Amino acid sequence: MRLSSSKRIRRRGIGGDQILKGLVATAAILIVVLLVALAVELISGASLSLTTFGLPFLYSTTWDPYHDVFGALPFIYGTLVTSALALLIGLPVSLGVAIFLSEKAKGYRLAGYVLGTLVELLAAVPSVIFGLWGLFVLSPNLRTYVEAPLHKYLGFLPIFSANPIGLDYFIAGIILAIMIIPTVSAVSRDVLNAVPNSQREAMYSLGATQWEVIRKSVLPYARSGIFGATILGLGRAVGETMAVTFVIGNSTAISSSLFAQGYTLSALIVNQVGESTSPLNASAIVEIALILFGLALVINIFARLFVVRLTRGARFRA
Amino acid sequence: MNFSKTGTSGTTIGLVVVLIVVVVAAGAYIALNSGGATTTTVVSTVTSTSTQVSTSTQVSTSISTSTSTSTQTSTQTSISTYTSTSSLLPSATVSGAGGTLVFPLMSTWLYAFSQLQPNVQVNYASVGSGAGITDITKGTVNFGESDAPLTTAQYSALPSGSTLLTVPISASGVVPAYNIPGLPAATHLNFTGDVLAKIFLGQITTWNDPAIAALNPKISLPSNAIVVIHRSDGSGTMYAYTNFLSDSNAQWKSQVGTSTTPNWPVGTGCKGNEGVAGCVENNQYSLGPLEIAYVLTNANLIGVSINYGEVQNHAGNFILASLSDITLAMQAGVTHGAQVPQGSTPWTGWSIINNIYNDSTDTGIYPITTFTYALVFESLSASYTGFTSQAQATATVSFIWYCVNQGQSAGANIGYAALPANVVASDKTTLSQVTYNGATLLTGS
Repeated sequence: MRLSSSKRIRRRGIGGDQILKGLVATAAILIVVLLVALAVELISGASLSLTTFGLPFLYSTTWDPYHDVFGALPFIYGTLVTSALALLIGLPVSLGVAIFLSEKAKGYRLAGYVLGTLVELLAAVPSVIFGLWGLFVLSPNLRTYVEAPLHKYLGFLPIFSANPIGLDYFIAGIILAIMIIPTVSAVSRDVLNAVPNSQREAMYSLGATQWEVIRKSVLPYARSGIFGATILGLGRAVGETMAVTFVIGNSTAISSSLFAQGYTLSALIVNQVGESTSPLNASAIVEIALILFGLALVINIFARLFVVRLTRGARFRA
Repeated sequence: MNFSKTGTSGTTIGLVVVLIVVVVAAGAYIALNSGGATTTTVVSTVTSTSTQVSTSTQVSTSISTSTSTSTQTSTQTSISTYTSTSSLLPSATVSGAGGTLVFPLMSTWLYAFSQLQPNVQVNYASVGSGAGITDITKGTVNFGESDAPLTTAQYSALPSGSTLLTVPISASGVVPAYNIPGLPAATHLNFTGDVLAKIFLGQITTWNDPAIAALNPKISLPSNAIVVIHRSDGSGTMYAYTNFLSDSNAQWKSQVGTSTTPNWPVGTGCKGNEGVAGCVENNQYSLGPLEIAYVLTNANLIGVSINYGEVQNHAGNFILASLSDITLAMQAGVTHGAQVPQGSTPWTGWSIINNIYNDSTDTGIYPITTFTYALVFESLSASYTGFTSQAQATATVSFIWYCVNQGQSAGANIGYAALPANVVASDKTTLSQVTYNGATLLTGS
């Protein structure tokens, strides 16, 4: 009797389960289809430029719509430099915020909540506002109080050698750092909170100070998660458009100085799409978009591979 | 990100709300007390009188006259008097897309035309000249708008057998704006095209270079480096500016050329006219090309933090750009040099600047003047044009004719020079060629 009644229940449930499975599978497949469709569209739009220039497009430095000669190196360079600078400046700050929120704020819950909310509000600020603020507020102040002295006293170093006018890789890097702080710190804070208390307690019982506990026990345990958070931040920095376009200076010259004007992949697209003077020009801009897409993919794939190796096959903790 | 620990969630929400209110209040206080730093005033030297167009709300015909004169120090004034009969058009939707240079004026036209013709809905998408040309080529809009005529590549992308007409609807001038602290506001530096080209090539690097000093003997120029500013986005203003530099300097012509998105050898790119103005304002000893409409409507900036210079025309005079000098340049541009292309002749490479570059007879013309063009197919019933009805075709032609004709008076207050009589007449001839199923669409005188 029990068997037949449970069989009845199972039969009633089968229809609903299958529908649910179907819906969920469709949603998952849709994502894959979207990604593939995006890649296919980009490749087909860039095909004219791909066949005209081939591989040298990636390391050619001329971008000249009038003569129909295009190359992507200045933009790839600018994207990489500003993103690296963003990580360099943003990661320590984000880690500091995350450590404060997860370790220190335990005694000051209110301060922790307010700070956490404020950091997330920072993520809600539209990027074009960062661009405007950077252009009108940060740029003149940075130029007068930071860049000019650095150039004056340390100008013999290549990275400080260009005459600063307030629009350059440096300020773009700083603004990107501010923009990735919310992402990296929020994820890092969750990761740090997920570290089991047994780890901390073990260190405390050995007589470690709070800083030693964090440094030697909590952070190494959360290492892969923090790396994942960094990659999320890097992904945002690489694709950030409006904030960078206002302050990067928009120059196609490659320079080793942080105070020189530069260009990024996304800034080029937003500046020149809609003004293409020939089909080859339009196709070259789509190829730049393809490169940006590929860069974001490569960064994420590399991060995942690295993390898998680091955690020796354990699941990626994002 | 879980905050809902018992007991403190309410306090948190309250605190956050208080914080937001404080921030907003502080911002409002600062905004209200910082004064009208960005109010725009019209420069008092530009005066124009115009009798307003009367709007017709009845079915009867109405005759409207519009007269616009601009009084300046030059002796030649442009007077355009047109009459047009406007009867109510049947309902239609017209869409256009194109450059940003004319957008403020286009907004005025859209509004005024909708008052005149309440049954017609005209939309304009300010997406850039290149996108405007692409859209009209594909037939997704009824008219395109571009700050530069089509290039050879763009002409060959048009549907076979089609004729795309190019109709100048307004004009603009480009001025060299600079920020040199210490120079009095009444002093305007002199420039020539060759000197500007060398500065933007990076060959002249300091303000007290002998070439600049020779043009400005009475002014003591500083020895600081010139901070070169240009546009980062595609721009008709830059098309005109690089056109002028190409005519003035052979190396510029071969190395950089004439383009809405040139490969600038030196300089910093700033987005939009506002960006260039802001960059020039924020950087001492900087130089950047600005559109005249922007300069005239933001006169509070001029003389305070930035100023603009005079450019030498071929007659040898240094001209400070103004609407009347630009109108003179337009008049000369269509009478001298290469003929205005008729019918299906391509406009590639045609420009006022090329025509007046060697004009030494017209003494008051401003040399960096450019048209901005409406683009419309000749035969609107063809399938590639995307037109759906005769009413739509008539409405499109009526709108463009309105812009060229009655609408010109609306430009003076916002810094756009009125088209001179000979250009309007030429446009009328061009628009009379537009047909739908063989019938001419332009009605009225």
